[in-house]
Amino acid sequence: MVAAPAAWAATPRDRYDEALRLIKTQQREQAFMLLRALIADSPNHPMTRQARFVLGEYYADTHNRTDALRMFTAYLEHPTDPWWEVIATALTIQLTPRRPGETGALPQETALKERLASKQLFLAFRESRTHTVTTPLGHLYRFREFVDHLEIERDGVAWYALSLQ
Amino acid sequence: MAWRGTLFRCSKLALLVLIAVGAAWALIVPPVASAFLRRDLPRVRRQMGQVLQAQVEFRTASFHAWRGVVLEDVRLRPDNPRAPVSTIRVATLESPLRVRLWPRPALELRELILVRPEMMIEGDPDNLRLLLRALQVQPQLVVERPVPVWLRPTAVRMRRGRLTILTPAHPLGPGSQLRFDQVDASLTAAWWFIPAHFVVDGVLGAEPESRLVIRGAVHRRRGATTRVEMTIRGYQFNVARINPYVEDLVHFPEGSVNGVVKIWATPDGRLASSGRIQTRDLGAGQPGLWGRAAKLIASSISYDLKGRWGPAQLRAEEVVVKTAGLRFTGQGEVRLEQAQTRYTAQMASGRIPTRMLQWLFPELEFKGGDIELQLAVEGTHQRLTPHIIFVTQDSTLTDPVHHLTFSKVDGTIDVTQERILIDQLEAFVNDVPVRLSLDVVTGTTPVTVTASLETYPRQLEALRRTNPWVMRASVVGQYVFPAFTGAIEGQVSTATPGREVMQPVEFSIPVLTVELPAALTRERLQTQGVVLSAPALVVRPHTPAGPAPGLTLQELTARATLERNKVVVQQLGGTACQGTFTGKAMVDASTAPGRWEVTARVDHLQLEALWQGLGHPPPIVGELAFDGRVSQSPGGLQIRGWTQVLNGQVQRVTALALLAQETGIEPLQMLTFRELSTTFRFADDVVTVEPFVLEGEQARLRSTCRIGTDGRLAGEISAQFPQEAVRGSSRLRWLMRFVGADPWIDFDFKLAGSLKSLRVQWLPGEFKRKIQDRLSPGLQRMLEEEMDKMLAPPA
Repeated sequence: MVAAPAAWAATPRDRYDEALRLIKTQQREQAFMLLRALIADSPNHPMTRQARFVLGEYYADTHNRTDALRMFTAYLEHPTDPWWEVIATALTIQLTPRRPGETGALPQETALKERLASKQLFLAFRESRTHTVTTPLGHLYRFREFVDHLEIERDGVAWYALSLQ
Repeated sequence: MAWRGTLFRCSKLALLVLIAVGAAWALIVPPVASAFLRRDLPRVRRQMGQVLQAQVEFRTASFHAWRGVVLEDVRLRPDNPRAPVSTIRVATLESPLRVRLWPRPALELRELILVRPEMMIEGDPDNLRLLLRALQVQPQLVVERPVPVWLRPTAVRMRRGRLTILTPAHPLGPGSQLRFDQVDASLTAAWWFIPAHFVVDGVLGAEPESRLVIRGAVHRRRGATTRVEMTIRGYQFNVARINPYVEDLVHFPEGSVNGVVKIWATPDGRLASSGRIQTRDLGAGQPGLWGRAAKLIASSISYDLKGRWGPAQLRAEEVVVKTAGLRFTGQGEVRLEQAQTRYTAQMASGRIPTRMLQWLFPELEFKGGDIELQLAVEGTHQRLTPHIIFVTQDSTLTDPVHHLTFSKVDGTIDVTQERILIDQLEAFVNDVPVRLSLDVVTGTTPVTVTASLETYPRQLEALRRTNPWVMRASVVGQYVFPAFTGAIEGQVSTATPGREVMQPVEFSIPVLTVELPAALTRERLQTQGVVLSAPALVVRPHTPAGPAPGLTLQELTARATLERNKVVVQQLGGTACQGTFTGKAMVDASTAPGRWEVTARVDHLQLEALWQGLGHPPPIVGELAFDGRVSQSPGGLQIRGWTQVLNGQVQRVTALALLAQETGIEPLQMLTFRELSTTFRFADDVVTVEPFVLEGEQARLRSTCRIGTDGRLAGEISAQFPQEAVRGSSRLRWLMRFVGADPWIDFDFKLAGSLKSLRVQWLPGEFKRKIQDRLSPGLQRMLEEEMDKMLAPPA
């Protein structure tokens, strides 16, 4: 019998911080039980939104496509960080099942494209502007922002590209 | 027993006396009567002449004991010497004869009986009347002209009970093309038998295939009424031929008329009739419209013939039209007068359910409410004025071929021969609201046309999402065949006052002439076409300061040829703003969806005058040349064009002025150029410019880009400016001096993002290479940040 962590009775922020701590200490199963409880107990709390992203990325890593899409869909309704939003969108596009030969952008992809295209940018002496983001699960994302497209590396490997045309 | 012997002898004696008298009558009286007859021939002729109202001649006259008077080869000549000479040749004519011996011997001719009819009547129809009178037909039935229908036979033959009337294809009424070339009447019984049956099998001269069969019987009672019963059966009976004036309105390509009509003479000498007529397979409007199972049933028809020439009335108390299992009832009345026939018919508010319309027009789709139909007809056969009023509400008509949808049609259409009146017809055509009122008075000379149209331009549909646009136009003109001359005025504005996205635009054509081919046939419309000309077309937009002076297009001409579902406008031309424009247009609705195409060319048009007329500050001036084509095809809207402006100037634009202030490139304040040209095309909601070229003393620009209707763009722009064009006090001038720029500095940019927030990459060029060689990375970063701020959209 596993005893309930003490953080379960704390505030949503404390429970979220406790989950991140558990992730860093490689106690992932307990961390995600905590996050699931957080989402169930406080579905509208701001920390719950971040918890959905973390939980979605966890499900994506464990190839649980259905739950991952459910979490990212909920997260994209109220994103908390513009780069996390890009990551969540890219993961949603990759996880969404497509029929053979089916083309066309998903609504999330179109929305992301419009949002990036409406962002003003001037590159005089560089080809691209670079951003780096590390998610709570420890994945390193490197964004290369060109005037007409976006390239993303994940953990040092080319992972996703999005044309803004 | 003695008395028995006496009685027997007396009877034998009486029998012998009777035999003796009969033998004397048979042997003595005929020669005696014949002798009297030969002696009294002039008197017989005179008596027959009085009966027949004609001069009577015959070759021989004799008396037979059982047949009475036998006249051979009787010839009748009308009393009127002006009447055409006619002859009735009767092989044998018998008549009861009374021989009078006291006070002096005489012979009386009571009547004539035709026993071996073989006669020929030639000439005037009065001869027919003579014949009928000779045949002892009751005078009440001899209705010479109760209606303007007459029979003028050239010959009537009666042979062995068969009457044949040959006519020289005379019409049955004034203006009518219905004619009987031949009528065969078969008399199945002698005239003294009651009833006498007859069959009239007619061939209608106008329609070789048409045929009309009338079967009937005459019931006659001497001294009382005579009743005629007829069964009418028509085959491929073209009713429109009866009256050519209704031919354009109602056309019956084929059909049949069946019915039973009873006609009798009333004691006061009038004719009365009742019957039931059924029609089958009659068409109206176009073949096949009614031609499936439509039945026109007229019942309870009553005649009231007053006198020989009328006036008379024919009332149809109930006219029933049955078709597709539906029933429409109405009333009608026809007044017959001596000079003309007046028709008055009322159909009280029949309803045409949409399922019937669907049955009539299977190629169309009907949904929604029924169509109320009101029909009234009045006038004479020379001018028949039908009122056809359609009242529709909330019905939808879809034409799958042309992809036209008329929905929520609400209004009335009153069509008469003298007037076409459309009163506030509101409909949605392909979801575009249309409100139409039209008044065409055709009964006057010239024909006057007054129309107003209100609709939302489909081309402005994108704007209509936020604020509907409405176009109102009115036409007032006169039509004198073959030309229409009128004036058009209209306005395009927002439907919601106070929410103007753009100020209203008025347009007017003071004089528009539309000349139709002299012969309005399909071939002429295809080859000769319709010629439109207008001295001027004035377009006057409103501005916040008030109405603009207006743009006047002069000497507008166009020739439109009309084919089936296709309109081609050629030789479209005119002048405006010292320039000329030519073009052509085509609308093809034969395919689904329809295609249209407009090609235009403009030369030497002064942009300054154009903008001045439109009341707008000119963003660019110069001499414009344009060649372009706009087409709508199943692939969507496509625009392809080439534009050139010579010796012009880009006027002060706020964005360019700010850029000039920030960069110190003074020509951006007001770009003067020798030539500005661009080739562009629009397809799939994207404008592709390849390339845009501006050549001037102070600037050279070249750009290729793609701009979507959502504002997103992608492309490259290359700009060159002379050193002296850069303000001396600007940072750019300092930078140029620092890096040692060439006399012409170049900028090459890659563009992306949207028009509101540009994403710009400075592409490698000579000037950029020198800056990268001379500036340290820190200064380069500072310069980039400054330019980033400069391009940032205003907060």
